[in-house]
Amino acid sequence: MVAFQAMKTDIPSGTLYMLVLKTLVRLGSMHGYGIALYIQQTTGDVLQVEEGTLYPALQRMLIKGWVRAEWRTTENKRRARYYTLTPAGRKQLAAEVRDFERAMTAVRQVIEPA
Amino acid sequence: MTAFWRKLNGWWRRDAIDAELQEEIRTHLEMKAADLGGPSPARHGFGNPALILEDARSVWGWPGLEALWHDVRYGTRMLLKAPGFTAVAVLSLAIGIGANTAIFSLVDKVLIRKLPVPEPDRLVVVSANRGQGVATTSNFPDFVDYRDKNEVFDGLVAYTQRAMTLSEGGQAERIQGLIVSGNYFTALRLRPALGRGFLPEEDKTASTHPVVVIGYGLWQRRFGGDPGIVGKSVSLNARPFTVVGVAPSAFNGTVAGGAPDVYVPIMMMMQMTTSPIDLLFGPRSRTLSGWLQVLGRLKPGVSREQAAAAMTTLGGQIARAYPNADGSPRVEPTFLIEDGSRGHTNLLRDLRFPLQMLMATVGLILLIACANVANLLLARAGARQKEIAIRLATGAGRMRLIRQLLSESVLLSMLGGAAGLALAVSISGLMVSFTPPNNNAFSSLTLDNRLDVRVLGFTLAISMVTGILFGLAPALIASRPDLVSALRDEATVFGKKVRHMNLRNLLVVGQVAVSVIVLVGAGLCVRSLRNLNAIDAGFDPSKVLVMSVDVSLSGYNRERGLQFYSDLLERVQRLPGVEAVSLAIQIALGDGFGARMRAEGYVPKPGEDLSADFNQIGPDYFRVMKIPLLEGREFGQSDTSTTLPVAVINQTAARRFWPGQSPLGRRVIVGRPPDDESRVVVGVVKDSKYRRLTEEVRPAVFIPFFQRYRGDMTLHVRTTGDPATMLAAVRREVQALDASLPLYNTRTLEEQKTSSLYTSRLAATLLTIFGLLALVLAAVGLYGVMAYTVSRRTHEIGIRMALGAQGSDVRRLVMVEGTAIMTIGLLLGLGGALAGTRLVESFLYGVRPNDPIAFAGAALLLAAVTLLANYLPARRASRTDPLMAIRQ
Repeated sequence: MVAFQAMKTDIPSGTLYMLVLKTLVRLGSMHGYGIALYIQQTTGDVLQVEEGTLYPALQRMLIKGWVRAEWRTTENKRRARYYTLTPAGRKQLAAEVRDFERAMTAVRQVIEPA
Repeated sequence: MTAFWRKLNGWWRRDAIDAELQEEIRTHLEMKAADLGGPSPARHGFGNPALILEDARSVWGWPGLEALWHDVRYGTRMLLKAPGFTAVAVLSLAIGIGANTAIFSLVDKVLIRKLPVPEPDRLVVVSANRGQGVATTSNFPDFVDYRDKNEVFDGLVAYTQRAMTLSEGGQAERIQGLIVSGNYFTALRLRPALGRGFLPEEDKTASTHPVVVIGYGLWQRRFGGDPGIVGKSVSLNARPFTVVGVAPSAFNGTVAGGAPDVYVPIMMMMQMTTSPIDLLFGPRSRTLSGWLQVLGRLKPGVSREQAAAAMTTLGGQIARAYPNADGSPRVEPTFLIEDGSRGHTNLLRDLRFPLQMLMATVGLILLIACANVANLLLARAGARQKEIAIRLATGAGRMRLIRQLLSESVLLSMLGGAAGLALAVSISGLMVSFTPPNNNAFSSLTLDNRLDVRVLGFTLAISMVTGILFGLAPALIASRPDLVSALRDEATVFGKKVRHMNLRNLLVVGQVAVSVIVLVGAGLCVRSLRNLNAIDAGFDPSKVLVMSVDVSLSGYNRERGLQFYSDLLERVQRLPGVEAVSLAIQIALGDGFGARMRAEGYVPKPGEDLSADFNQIGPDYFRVMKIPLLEGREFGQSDTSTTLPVAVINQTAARRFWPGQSPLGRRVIVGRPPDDESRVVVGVVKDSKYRRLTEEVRPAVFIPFFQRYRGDMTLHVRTTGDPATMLAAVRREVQALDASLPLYNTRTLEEQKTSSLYTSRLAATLLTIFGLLALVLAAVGLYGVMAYTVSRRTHEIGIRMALGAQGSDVRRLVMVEGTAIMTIGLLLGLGGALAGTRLVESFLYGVRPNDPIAFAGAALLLAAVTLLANYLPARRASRTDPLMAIRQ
């Protein structure tokens, strides 16, 4: 996953797909800028999504069939590409969340005081 | 998988994806700018938009494929930059690959391809030795017992080939039929293209079920692929047959080389022949020689040896159960079970050896071509050393570079392969033009000389392999990271590139040697063919037209048939331009059949061979053939069934039975009891060749047609002018008598003689062509190496000339080196040929495999051509301007 090497520390490695998928569950459908903004605001500016990783990731998700894209007009009369979750994407999200939680539990067992 | 398709789909609309991404990123920027209050903060933390676009786009890419595409594009540019090199390389490869493709397409059909039936490897040819050598045929009642009582086969089928007349829409045509046992399609597990195979009830009673399965080819050719053909009626030998099915398209029967137009159930055999029914199906036929070829499908787990043993046991029981008519025991057969995955291949046996020889030859030619291109590539690698060094220095990996160089050579070989295919088509056409006309054994080869998928696959495969074969060594050498010396441009330092030069010289030595071998082979075959052509056939084949008719298949009885032939002889005799006309059942040099013959009262020694050549002929036959009559008379129209039975014998028969005496008035016994007959000798003719030109003449006996009628006869017409121009006139005479009779075997005797030498002519012509191609390739190779050497040594030559060497000295210097290469190659080649040509000894006629003329001829031709190829660069070297050369 070449794209993830460029992520610095902003987003925990391997979680970008999960974050984007979850965002789309919450928002229904949204354009790239909206997704980045939502993640940033929801986490109180803790997590910064870099555009240089967001767009390759979105393309990859399109290829894998997790999301669909269509051009629509925003409230400010701009044409933007809106992404919507597909059933395959929903399944993927469930799997990623499960894996993530298992990993977090494991990590917590190591770092939390006994 | 779906992700793969989405990505593949994206490749077609990659421009649209690009545009969408660009717009998306621009919108993103604008929205961010609007939120933050200006374009410049928006850029902050956004990164480079072009880079984002690049990264996002690359998600859709195919990294391996794109690198390959890049290699191919780069390779194409490099090849276009050196058009001379590319042309010579592609031409060399085209010759090598084209020759291989053409020969392979024939080898595949004759020697490799298995029958298009399920599990062909379990099919076996069943033959038996009944005390007179291995016979591939069986009679019908024995076959039925073998079929029903054996425990080793999943199915046993029998068949025989038979020509017949198809009349359809008022047009009569002679077609090839396969008369098959009723289980033929089911036992072979063939699924007809249309309709069905034969039913069990169609295999029970003689002549009650006139049904036919037609071949795919006939269905297409004659019935336009009519989908409603099943259920229609066609006329075979003037009797209606119902079409019940169409054979599968890839299926050409089970006799290799044949292509049956129709498959007729064995129970309809009576409609296909004039033999009486009891000789075909009756119990008496058990003691006669067979007429059916037998093919079996082994049960799983049964070996050929087990099957042979089981069949020998069964055959013994059957032989004991049915003794000879006089009560004496029948010979118990010993069975032989052989590979039948390609059906019965005995008719193609003559082709096997020449094809193997040709395949080996074209393999050698491909090696020469590869050596040529490898040499050219090595020369180019020298010229491209700087380019390669720069690429290595700037960080290109050696593997990446080798891949680049290899893709260039594969590109070359693909171009060569494409050009080779075109060449193969013309070589195939040439081979087909040698095929004997109207020859049953080769009909599927002539009908089907297209290059099919298997052949294309073969061409693609050898193109790939040759590309890697000739490209690998040069690529390895060229990419050797010897950066420093290459960049310092030391290429012209004399003696530095010794290693490359050795490999290059070695390649040329190999080329010369291999082409000597091919040339010697060609020389031997040409000399052998000359000997064959010089054989005195004993008759004069020029200006004789032959043409066969079979009136028995059109329902003529004996009386009507005799009348027909009598009328025909009279009408043709009256034609202007006809010198003499006669009839015969057998055409000379046509692999005819023999008969047993002995003098009356002659007691044969035990095991003595009494077989003789046999022909049944009309009046004037010997005059038409120009076979000299030594004693007595020819047959006349007066020799009929009511007059004394007579015969004419040849010199050899006369000498054998009546040495030193005249056989006139003596009696001979012709045939085998109980069908033998006694005849009075009324004439002796000079020996001639009967079945083939290379035969040892045996005793021969001729009996008169008007005395012993047959329905299938061949008209022999001696003309005063070119016989081919008389064809239409003679045909008109036949049709004036009966327009519905199909004519076949229409040819001149000269053509018959030529086509009887088919395999020898094929081998001699192709080997000559291939030998010359090999010679040209080797000459080009030597020229290339010497020209390269000269160009590399211009500097050195300049110095030599400046120091006083004359042009002739320089010329000698270059010639000596080239001649050394040629001589080594020539000697190696002659040695190789001496060892190799022993293998072809059996194929040669009147030439020994170490024939000095063939060897000397090949050596001289090669020396002359290579010296010329060597002289051109030598002359150029001798014209070097020393000043220019030293300044260089």
